Amino acid sequence: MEKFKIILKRFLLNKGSAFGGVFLILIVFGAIFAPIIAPYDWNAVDTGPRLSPPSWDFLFGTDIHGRDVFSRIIYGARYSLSVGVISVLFGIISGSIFGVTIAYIGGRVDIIGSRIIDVMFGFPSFLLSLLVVAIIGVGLWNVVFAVGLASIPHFARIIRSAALQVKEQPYIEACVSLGYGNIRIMLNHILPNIFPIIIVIATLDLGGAIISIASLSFLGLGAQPPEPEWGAMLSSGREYMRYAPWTMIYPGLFLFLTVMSVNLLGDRLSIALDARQSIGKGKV
Amino acid sequence: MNFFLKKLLIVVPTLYIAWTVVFVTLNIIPGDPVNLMLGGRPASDEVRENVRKNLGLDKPVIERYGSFLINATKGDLGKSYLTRQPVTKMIKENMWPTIELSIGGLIFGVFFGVLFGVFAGTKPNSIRDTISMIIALCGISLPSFWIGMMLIYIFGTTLGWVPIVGDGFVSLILPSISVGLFFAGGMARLTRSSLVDVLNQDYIRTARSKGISKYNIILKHSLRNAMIPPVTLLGIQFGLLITGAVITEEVFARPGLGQLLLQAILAKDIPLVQALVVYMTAVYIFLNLIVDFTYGIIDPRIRLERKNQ
Amino acid sequence: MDNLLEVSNLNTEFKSDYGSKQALHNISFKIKEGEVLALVGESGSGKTVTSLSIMGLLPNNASIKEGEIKLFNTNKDEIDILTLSDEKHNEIRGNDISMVFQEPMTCLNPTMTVGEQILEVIIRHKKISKINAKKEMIGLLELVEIPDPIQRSNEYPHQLSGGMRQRIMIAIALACNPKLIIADEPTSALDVTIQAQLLELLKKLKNSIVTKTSILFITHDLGIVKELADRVIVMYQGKIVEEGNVLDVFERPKHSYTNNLIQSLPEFKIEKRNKENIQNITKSDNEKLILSIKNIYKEFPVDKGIFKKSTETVKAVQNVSFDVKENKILGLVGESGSGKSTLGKTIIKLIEPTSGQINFKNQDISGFNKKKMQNIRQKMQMIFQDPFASLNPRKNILDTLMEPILVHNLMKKNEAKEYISQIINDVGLPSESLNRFPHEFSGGQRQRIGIARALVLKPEFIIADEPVSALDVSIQAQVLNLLETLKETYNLTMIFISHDLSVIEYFCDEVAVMYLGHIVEMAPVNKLFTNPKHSYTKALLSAVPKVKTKKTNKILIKGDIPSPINPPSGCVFRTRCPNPGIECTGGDIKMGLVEVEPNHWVDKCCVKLD
Repeated sequence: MEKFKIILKRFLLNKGSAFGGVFLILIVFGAIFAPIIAPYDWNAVDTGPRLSPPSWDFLFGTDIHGRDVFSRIIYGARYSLSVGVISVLFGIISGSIFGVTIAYIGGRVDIIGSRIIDVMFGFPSFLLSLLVVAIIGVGLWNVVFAVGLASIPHFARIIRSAALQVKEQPYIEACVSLGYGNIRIMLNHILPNIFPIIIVIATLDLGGAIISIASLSFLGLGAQPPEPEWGAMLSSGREYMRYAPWTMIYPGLFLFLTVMSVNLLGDRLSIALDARQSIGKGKV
Repeated sequence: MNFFLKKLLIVVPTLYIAWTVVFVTLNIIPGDPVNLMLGGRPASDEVRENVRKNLGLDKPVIERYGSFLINATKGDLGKSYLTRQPVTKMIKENMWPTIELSIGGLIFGVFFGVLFGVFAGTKPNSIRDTISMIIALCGISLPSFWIGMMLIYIFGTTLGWVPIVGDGFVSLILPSISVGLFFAGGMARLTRSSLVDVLNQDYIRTARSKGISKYNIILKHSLRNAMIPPVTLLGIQFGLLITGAVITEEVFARPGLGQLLLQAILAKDIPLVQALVVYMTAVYIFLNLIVDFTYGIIDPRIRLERKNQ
Repeated sequence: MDNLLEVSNLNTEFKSDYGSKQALHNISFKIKEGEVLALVGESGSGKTVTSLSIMGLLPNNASIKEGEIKLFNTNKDEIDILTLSDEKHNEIRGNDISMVFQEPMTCLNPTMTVGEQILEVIIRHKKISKINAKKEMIGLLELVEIPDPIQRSNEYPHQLSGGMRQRIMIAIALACNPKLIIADEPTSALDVTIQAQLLELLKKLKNSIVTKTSILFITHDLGIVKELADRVIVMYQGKIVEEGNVLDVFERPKHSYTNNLIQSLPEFKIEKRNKENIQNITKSDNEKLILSIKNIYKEFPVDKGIFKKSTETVKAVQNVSFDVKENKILGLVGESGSGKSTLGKTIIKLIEPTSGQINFKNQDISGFNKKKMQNIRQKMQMIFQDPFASLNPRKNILDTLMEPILVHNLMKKNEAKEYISQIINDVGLPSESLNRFPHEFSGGQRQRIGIARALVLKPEFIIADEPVSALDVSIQAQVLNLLETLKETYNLTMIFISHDLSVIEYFCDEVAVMYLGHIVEMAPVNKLFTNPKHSYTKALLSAVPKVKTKKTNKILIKGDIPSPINPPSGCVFRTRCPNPGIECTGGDIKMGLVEVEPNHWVDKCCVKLD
């Protein structure tokens, strides 16, 4: 457990993860306490003059309907983070079940399973998301589902190969020789050993998922006005870019910083956990 | 040659399954396409029947599936519900701007990606490594639609350096950056980590024990070995060009396949969506096939393995 | 002789997140011109760090805190290596001092032909034209005895066998006529017959063309030291504990560590045992069979991807039959590709046999499904080779040992706790270890845990697959002692798989020698080691470098081990046999064992020759 502390320390002491961590905590905090922090109602029209530039009253200015951009961004954090997390969770859980199962059973099942992954890879993931939206229709939750679904082949492929590696380890052979059942071996011995990889790829993918969902909302396929989702805000802010650039700059900046923080955390996580693995192997 | 044939044998079923998935999914969409055709206008049953016949919707699903596949291989993918033009013609008309944009994005992405990656990877944990990697991190964290708008705002609207609309090379610069930035970021990160990895290999230590200079170690021993993961990434990232096309064309109001696809989806123009997906998957798979061949050029192990098959 | 290299007061340190650790403490030694100096020690003793310090190839987290390394060139000028700039050091590396590394699989650049890799160093230092350099390169390949040098020079490393690659590494090291060659465990990754070929090559080179060159030979194998070196330095935990002439050190070791090291060699232990009680062998006449396998075949299809029409198979185990008597230890010995591990796993049904019978306690388990095996599993267990990979890193020791008991419903959880701490004490670990995780233990301790896991179900029969190969010599001896005691207390029967002949000789009652899937000779240990009949066994026995016995004429077998995918027709050994008969080469000759003496079985092919 001492080693765990070292990993934690190594993780926390890094400037990158510190920045990412602090920003994310602020965003999550803002999202939870939005009603307290936000100075105005996110949906109240004509809170101030329309398209007024940033000022002390309206920190990030107002939009075409006179709504406070800052308040909308704070409320918008509720969307961006949760939708990203939900879509990644959906993708990673499905991908893990699929990947671990085909890798462990092996033989024909693995070959057919891998073929399915390959065929799904035949579609570029964004195209797959678009296709899913085309089928199930426009809407924020449909987009979340579409992005999650499109990420499954990617997750399944990585997790399959990780599970395959673990499966080849002598300690799994030992499990078989001790007469353990398949489900026990998968859940109790393979899964815990690929868990760090699952965490890392999920975190590394979270940023991409947030961007994808925001992009689809920007294209008008996801969140619909007046919802303060950042992508949707950018979509409407875009028309007044010339006269009121703040309606476009600030939501995007928050989106960018959120994604960057998530990516920073993912990077540090993967470095920290990798180091742990090399300790496990005995070479410091 | 043998390898090529085998690859083709994998590509064909993949395409077939992909197209079948497209056909099936788009034919289970709730809502009657006839209504879409009529744009919600009321019409008599006779008119409806006519429209149905015109679209070939009176035939059984299996027959439509069969003719879809046959026509797809011929490149004839039916007519748009909305414009009633052959979709192939529409694709042809909108193809070039997207190809231009994709090439632009690709060049920007590969050039800056490899440049920053090598710059950082050759001196890990130095200041230049840190700075390069922060830039690369920004690259993968910037939403392309936002950076597109920011570029327009800064260089087009405020500074007036670059025309926002119009033809020609100059107007391609900003869209290419917007398409290629994510690409470049990912490429730089992977090139760096791959290079750092290679520089830690035993054979690099061997080269050092031979007294080979640092410059030659990087040039002759490292780069080639380090380029295999980035080339793989390249294959996957071709998909990003489609993302880039859809979003960047929307942001920069450029015509192209991305715009076409977006409109088709919003209007539920099924033949057009079908055709575009079929076309894009084919191109994507074809580009990945090229990447597959590139491996052989880079890595003699793969080349010889293929020869022996 | 003059000194060529002087290392004085060398202190090297490693930095990590856990603080810094000194790897070398005040290392001082000299290498004379033309001598072979051996640097011996177990893992972590600092021998590789010493060599990398001389080469200036230390990893980034290591630094030399103190010390001097002086190299004397032809004009007796003194060069202080540690003060050189990287460019100046590059002039020396590969030119005056060159190095051969341990891992032939990873030490050559996979994307350059081996010819280019030799050329590179010649052109770099000799500054001659490419045509001349090419001539030299071919000459070097001939020197290291690579057949078809011109064709081979155009091949990539992965097309060559491990032994060939190591010859390439030697060619690179020799290319610029260096004054010093540092060889870091150059044969440790190779099979014993290939190792013998390389050692022979090194001796030949040493006696002919590179007489002026000094060699710093780093190894853990005392037998090699005896065979090759003039002088030896023994290192332990970063310090030099003994230095002297090879003969002196082996006969009259001054330091207790050196003495222990020598005494823990199986050959010494065998001698000691023989002196103590010769009667030991006739102790039990229990002839009850516990395991009897008949005509076992195991063939794997070669993975050809999605088109499952693979016509080629790896012929891993071919027509193997033998009996194991209760309370005996059968040794399975062979080089890589011999199928010994596959055979072990097939017997315990981790792998399904292609055909044949496995009679375990009078029932044929070869056709048993998972459910039927469940009861058998309790009675036959396995000990695995790699102590680092055979324990689940995410489970503490208690969980690892508890799980099998619960799965098999042997006893209740609270009873089991007591039972487990009993077992962990039996394998020589304190009960407190139960709450710890595998990474907190050393290799030897982990192997003890692996043994405890195999014992926990109270098995009668254990297959030990190279249980001590990954361990240092002294730890090896401890683990073998432990296994010996446990065999008595737990009343075990064992199959002991190993590539190490001396360990087999020390530990087993009977031994079967495997080559490319076949058993070529099988006999009680004392018979086989004193009177080997098969040419392969003879070559194998003579290939092992030993400290005690002087070997005058080695039986060297030529060439590499053929691939088990395409084993030679007829007798599989004929391609490397020193005196193959015409009848061996025929495609229709069938291999099979004949009893030449009571209990001594030899493959027919070799019997005819005698």
